[in-house]
Amino acid sequence: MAQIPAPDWRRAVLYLPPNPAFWEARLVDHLSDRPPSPERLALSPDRVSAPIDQLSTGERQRGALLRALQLGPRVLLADEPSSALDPENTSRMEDLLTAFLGEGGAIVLVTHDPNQATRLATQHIALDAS
Amino acid sequence: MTPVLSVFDLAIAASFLLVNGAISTLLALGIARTLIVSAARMVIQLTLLAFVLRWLFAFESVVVTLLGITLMGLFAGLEVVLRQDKTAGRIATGAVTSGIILAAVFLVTMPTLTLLIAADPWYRPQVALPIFGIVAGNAMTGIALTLSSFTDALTRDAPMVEARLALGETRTEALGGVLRQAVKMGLMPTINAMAAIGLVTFPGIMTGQLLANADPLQAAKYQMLVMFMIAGSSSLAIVAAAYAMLYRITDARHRLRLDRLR
Repeated sequence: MAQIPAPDWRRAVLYLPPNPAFWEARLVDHLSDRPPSPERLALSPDRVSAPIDQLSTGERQRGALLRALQLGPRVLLADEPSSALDPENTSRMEDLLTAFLGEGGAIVLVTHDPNQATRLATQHIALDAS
Repeated sequence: MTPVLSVFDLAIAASFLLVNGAISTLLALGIARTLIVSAARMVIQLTLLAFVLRWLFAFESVVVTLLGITLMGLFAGLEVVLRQDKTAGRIATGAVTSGIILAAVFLVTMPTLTLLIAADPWYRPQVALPIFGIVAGNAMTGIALTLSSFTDALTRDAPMVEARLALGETRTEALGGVLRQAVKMGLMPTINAMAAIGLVTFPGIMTGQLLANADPLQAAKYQMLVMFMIAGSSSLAIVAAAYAMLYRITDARHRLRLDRLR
């Protein structure tokens, strides 16, 4: 592992923060033509090309997942990726995550929603308040 | 003939400061004290410089000229550190900055001194020291601006830089925007000086030569030579300092090391 350059490692084992940062003006500038497409998470073309600071937290979380998956990671370290999403979009995101698992990806998921853990996890670790 | 100034002449000129001080006191700007201290510093430093130069000029030796130049480079590094709110290590910053300034300025002034101006000998302190001083002073200001712009931009944009690194960008990619911005800031005074020269500002070298009754065109040519040296060495020094900062504020694992900024 120490032989792998850190940037290569990070692209393979990708960290997805709960409050992702964007440095370009619009979401579209962060995305490529690779799958998954923004429609998979119900992001319409006008949302994708809207100024970043006009996007809601949920839209940013969805955009960040697209950006991450388009880089083709093998493992996703997802820290509450759907914490700001309504049930429909949560479900869309989970479909995408399940598809990623089906393609041989692995996910380390942190979530406050026990149901989400049940829906997605093959193994889970519960942390107490301590 | 350059008019000879008496102490009395200077005292009259200094009285303009009183007007300045009065305005400051009247408007409660609170700068009267700083103003007086700076003015006193200027008088003392220039007087000392004059005596040091008299002494140096009497020597006319390579060693003394090089020693003088090195000392100026070290002071320039110190000044840069003093202008920073935060540095990635004060001693390291000072040492690296001095090294960069000395290297960049030598690279640019040496060909000029030996080939273009061709003073005889090239290390003639009357020529070498003022030229080195002008060029090093501009590189110093440039680096000071570059470094403080670098730390400001980085502190502000840290979440974005972290995000880029997390997505697998290298440190030079992730900090590229910050670096370019910092270099631009550092070069601004040089670019402004070149663009506005002769229209808004009356350049120092030329003024000096005109006061000494030189031909205006000859004086202008000297000014151009100096401006080219300033532009060349400042760009070199600024880019080198920005990259040194980039490598200092990140590590070999391409992590942002803001903890090194104090």
